Amino acid sequence: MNLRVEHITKFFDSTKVLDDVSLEVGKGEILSLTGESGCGKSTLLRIISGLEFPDHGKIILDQQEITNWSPERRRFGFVFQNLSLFPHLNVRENILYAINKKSQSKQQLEKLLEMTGLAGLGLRFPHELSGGQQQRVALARALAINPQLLILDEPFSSLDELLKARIREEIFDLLRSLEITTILVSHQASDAFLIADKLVVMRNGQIKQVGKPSDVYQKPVSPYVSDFFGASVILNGKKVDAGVQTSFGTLKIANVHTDNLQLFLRPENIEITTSTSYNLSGQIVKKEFKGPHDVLKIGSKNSDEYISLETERCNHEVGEDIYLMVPEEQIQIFE
Amino acid sequence: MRLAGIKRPRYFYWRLATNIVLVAILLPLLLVASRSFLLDTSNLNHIVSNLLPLYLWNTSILVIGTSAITLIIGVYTAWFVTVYDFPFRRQFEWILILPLSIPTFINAISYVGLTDYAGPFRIFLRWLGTDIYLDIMNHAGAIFVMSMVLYPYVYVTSRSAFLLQSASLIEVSRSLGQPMQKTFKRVVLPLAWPAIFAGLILVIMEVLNDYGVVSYFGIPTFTVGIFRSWLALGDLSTAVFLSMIVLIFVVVLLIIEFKANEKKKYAFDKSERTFTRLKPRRKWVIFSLCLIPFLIGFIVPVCQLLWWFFLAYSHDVWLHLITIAKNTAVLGILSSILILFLSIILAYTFRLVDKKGLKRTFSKLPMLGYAMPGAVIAVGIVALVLIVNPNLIYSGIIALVFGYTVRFFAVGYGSIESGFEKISRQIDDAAISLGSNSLRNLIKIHIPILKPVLLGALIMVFVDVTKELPITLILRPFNYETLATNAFQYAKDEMAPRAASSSLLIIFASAIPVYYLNRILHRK
Repeated sequence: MNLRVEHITKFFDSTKVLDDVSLEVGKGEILSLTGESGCGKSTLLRIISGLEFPDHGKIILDQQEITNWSPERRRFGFVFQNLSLFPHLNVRENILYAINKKSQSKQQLEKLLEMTGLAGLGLRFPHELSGGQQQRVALARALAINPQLLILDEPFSSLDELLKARIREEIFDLLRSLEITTILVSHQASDAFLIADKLVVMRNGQIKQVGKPSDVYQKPVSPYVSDFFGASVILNGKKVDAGVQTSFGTLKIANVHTDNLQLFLRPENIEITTSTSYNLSGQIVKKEFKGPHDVLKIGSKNSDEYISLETERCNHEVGEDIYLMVPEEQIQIFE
Repeated sequence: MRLAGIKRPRYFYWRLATNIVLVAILLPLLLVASRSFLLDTSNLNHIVSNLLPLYLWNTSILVIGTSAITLIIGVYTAWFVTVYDFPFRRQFEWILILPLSIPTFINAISYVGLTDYAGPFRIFLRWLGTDIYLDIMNHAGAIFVMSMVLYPYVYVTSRSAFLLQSASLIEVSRSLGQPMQKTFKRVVLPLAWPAIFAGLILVIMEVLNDYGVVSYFGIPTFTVGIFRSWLALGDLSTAVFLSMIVLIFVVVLLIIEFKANEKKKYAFDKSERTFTRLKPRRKWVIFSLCLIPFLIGFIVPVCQLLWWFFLAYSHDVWLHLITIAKNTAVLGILSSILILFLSIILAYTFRLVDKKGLKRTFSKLPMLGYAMPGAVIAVGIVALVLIVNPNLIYSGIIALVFGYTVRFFAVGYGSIESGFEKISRQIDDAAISLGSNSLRNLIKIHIPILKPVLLGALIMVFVDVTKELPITLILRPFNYETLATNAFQYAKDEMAPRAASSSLLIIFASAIPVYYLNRILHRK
């Protein structure tokens, strides 16, 4: 099973919601599609599942073009954001909804109930189940058709935070053990980090970056991507003979091609020290108490640029001059 | 527990007024029910053995036939318009409701004219060199004529049920490999059934209420029986007896509907609706399937009436038309204003005093009149008038307005009540905290906020009064004609072309609330 999306473009009226999108999911791979709401990820998902049709481009499943196939013909398991359990059917009927052969049904049902931890709940109706249980029914129902591809659209958004962590882990473990090809859409980076083999970042209908989660986190291709996956420090820089000059000092970076550029760092890679042996320096302008850690706002002495850093409880006080230790190999340059 | 010195406001006058209104509106129905215990049994044997089976048979056939056809047309058109993308879909959304503006008996008049010897259909056939005798004045014809203008009741309720369901239910079913038809059967229909049934009940009530079609076609149903016994034979006992049977049937229907709605009510998430694309050929098939009911239920009868109108156009028709239009307007305005006034009192009182338990039931009771056939209400009012003044042979227009008020109270009250419910109670509390009293609140706050709702209610009641036939026929003063009675009388006297002008006026006036209905549907 190999799914290829090739050059998909889609308009709603005159707005381009998908702009030449291509991606590929291999067998057993878990692909996570992320991006802020309105970036086109849901539309892409609907096109892959056949609920929407593209204006240009192709969907190819194992060398066969399926762009114009109806959703019922594709049989991709789809777990909707609102779960969409059939309210008039009980758990068994919901799961068996798609199983046409009576003979297989009983065995398969028991297996699915067992697998998703729903054993004993078969006769309940959706409104009699907790949020987590409903979640599992939706998954069991999608798995019942033995889908070649499983599509999960923001599957945890209806759960509260506490429950979410547990259910998410359970479901991810299950998906891993089934080795089922999956596309997971989420606007939360943590979902993607936890399970994805491949991460796709979308914005304004375009794919911005594709890669392993750790690569996307440490080496984002743009300020947008870096911000999306966590706190980031971005400094404006200028090319000089010694390297790159910022308002906090000069860094020894070679191989820079443009005069004005941006330097990206994850804050956890920056170390604060009072030792003068580092070339970046600043002044603490604000210190905020945030429970387990403090947040320091460090201002430049030469301009009004500042950076915010999360630190463990520290002894530095407002007004103090400090130095920043920055490992140059961790710096990502946006030119 | 009541704390010493703290007394909740009792709203004595509001409650008194409400009780009086409730009693007045329910009185005619109560009279029918109570009079049935004091029946004059001399004719009863004859009625039970000879007439009852006939009435029962005819009424049942019409109810079953009309239900079946309206169910099919109403549900399939609502489904197509909700899920498929086809030419003029947006227009069909409201066009399909238009047949509702044609009263059943006017549709009957047009189709009889259309298919009789001198009608365009037969003329066309003879021009082709052939001719067939087409008699529609029978059961099948009555079912056809009524179904084609009553299906919008089912259409409207089904459509709002379909719109309320999340689109993702359909999508999930399709992603599970079930094609559209199966999805419809296994998911959409079972979930929409209570709403569809509610629409069907409205159809059944209209059929039970109908006097125009059945008397024109000569099909003796219960309504015809009630008319005959009171108007022709002056036998109130028999009229009451027959009314009682219809009343019981209606009450049973209402209980069934109540039970159906009592079942689980599902809450759906609103999700973006997309329309399924179709292959070009199927597109036009669906387009035609939606066009046909609109053509048959609206365009054809209106064209026939227009043709007649130009045939019968003359000066004296106009003068006469102005008089009866004026009569109709007076009745419509009086009744709608009265209903508006009483509805506001009722809805506001039930807002002031908490609706709980028995009071909740009471607040729904005045709706009962709308479910009752006009003839039954009219018989109740005749019984009432005879108690007040036994020598009165014909009643004035007061009785007529009273009859309309009982029958159409629900139309105004329903929308005003739901309008009140949309106003936050905190507004009342805020006003009271500023030192205002309940009457001042109503006049200064609620009525201005409700203005559009009140206007809508006024129009809806006015239109219903304009179309009304059975109550008008029984209760009108001698020689007092409305548009509906005028059209009906001409048709009965085999002068159908002269019925065209009144009919067209009624249809024109009735088409207005269709616009409103469509807007309400879209807001949901």
